[in-house]
Amino acid sequence: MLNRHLVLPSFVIILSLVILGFITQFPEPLYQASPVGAGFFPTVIVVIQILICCVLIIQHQRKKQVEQEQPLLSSHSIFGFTLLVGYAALITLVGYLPASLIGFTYYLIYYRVKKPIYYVVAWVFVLAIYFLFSDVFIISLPEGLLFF
Amino acid sequence: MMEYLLSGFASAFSMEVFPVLVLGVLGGVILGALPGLTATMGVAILLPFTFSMMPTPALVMLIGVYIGGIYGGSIAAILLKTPGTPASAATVLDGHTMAIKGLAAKALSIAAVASFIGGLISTVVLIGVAPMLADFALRFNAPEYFALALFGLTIIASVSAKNIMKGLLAGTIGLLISMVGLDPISSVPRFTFGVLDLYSGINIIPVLIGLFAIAEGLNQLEKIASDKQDIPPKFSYNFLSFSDFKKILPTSIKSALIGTSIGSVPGAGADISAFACYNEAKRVAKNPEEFGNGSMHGLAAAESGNNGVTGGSLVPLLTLGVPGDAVSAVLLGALIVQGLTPGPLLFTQNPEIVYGIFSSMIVANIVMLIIGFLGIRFFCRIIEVPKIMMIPIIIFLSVIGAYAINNSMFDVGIAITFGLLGFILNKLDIPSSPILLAIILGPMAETNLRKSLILYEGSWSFIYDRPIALAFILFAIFSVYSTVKLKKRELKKQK
Repeated sequence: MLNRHLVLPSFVIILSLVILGFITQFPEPLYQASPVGAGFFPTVIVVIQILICCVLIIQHQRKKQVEQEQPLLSSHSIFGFTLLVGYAALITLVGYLPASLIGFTYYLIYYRVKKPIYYVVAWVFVLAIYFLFSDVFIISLPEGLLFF
Repeated sequence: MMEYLLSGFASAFSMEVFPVLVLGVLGGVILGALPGLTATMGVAILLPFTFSMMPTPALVMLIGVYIGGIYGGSIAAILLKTPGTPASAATVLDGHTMAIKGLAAKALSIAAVASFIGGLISTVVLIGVAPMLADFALRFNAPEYFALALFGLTIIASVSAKNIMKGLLAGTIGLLISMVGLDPISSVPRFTFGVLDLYSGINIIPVLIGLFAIAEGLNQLEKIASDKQDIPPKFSYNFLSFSDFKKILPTSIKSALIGTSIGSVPGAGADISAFACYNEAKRVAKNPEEFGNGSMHGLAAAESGNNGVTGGSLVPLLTLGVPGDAVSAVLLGALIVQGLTPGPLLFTQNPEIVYGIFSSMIVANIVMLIIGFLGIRFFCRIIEVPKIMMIPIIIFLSVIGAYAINNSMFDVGIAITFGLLGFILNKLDIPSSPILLAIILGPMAETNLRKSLILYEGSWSFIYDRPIALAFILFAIFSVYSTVKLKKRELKKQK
């Protein structure tokens, strides 16, 4: 079975090599005042990153005991991430207020919350934040593409 | 000087100034506690309200917001593992662990007391040695800034929890992220992939919100499954005792002095100071293994360190007219709007205003301490909110906080991306704090290294040619050496 303590450094090494490729494609400035160019610092960092990953792989190989690993993502965290992305997309479409009311309510329904007070608190919270940002801090919250 | 200070105190307690001061501090605490709303933003939001006010109440209110905002960031950091401001990122390390252990009230009271000590000492230093500190800060040029950033980056090793290599890996990830955008010297686009929003780089606030708040929200969601019954955690309402106070006092004083020195250097803010003080407190601690596991000293160092900057950052502003950080840049605007020109002449032409500000800062710190203590029982109620309700509140506040910085959905995307990254890295035992530290210090290190090389025509002799730079580089070497030694000692103890 693939071990995450080996997969991560190996993945970072591959990513670092790809980044090195990008660094070589940085455009040349019209006038180079500095003795070192725009690619110098990123190159140093990427090389250090590759070295660190090599050390991490060696460190892991030297470890004798096998650790019990928990899964990287569970159904709850996947739901949380999907909710976040969905909420952000909904905000873009319909704006803060409807998106937050829908998002919070959907979350409570998903977790089968039965207490009505939780729903009331959720809606009051959404409205309170809307009032706080728009009327007190004078920060405009997203209106949504559909309402323009 | 004393008569101006006394008249400043009289003015601070007058009916014209005192209510504005209390309102400013309270507003700052609330703003600071909300993720994404920084002290800088709070001062900027309230700036237009001061246009019609007299100079003293106007400046006092803004300074109140500044002091309250830096402290307010610690409330969310301790209770929700969500630093309200970048300055509170180091507070999470021990403050939240204390809250998990049921010591939320104690952690909040330590934060209030340490913030008060930091702010008070910083103000006293500002009053006493402002011109001298300004002279020290003026000697900083590119090589010194590079060495300071390098020293700051060595803190990564200290905040790396169990495995230094994993902390360093997180640091390199942060450094690479800090390089997205236009190159600071030649303006060549780097890692922008034609996306216009990336040309100005990645804003630190959405990264902070993602790495800490969203990642913590996802983490808590996973725990919902294991916690069958949603029972609020038990915790004690005990504040810090007098013996606790005696224990944290030396750390707080030392951190306040370090914070003031860092704050007086233009460009080095409360976030850098908090980490630097935390690192120093851990280095000299008798039990460094307690750091990261709910150490009172760690929390006091971070909080005293970030509030220590409040006075320090006003040193270059008031004495030279050079803003030390973003907040003092906004305060510079406020001074100009009031018809005042910051600089050496301000002390001779308007001493009543300068010393009025100093006196008000002392009063603002006292007000902050009182608000902090009075609010602890109220703040602790946050922990009693059922987890099933708290998680979406954190997540939705995070999204709105990320949006509010630039009114940009792109920043929301950044926060979500870093939320997932922080969550996965957490599972792989890779700490998030080094990423943040590297994003803060990366541009400072790179820009000043390249400026130094231009100044010295490609020679690296600036490393040993300039005493302050050399001192910082030696500090950096010493910091790495002592951290490695410390980690080895910890490993031996565990075996």
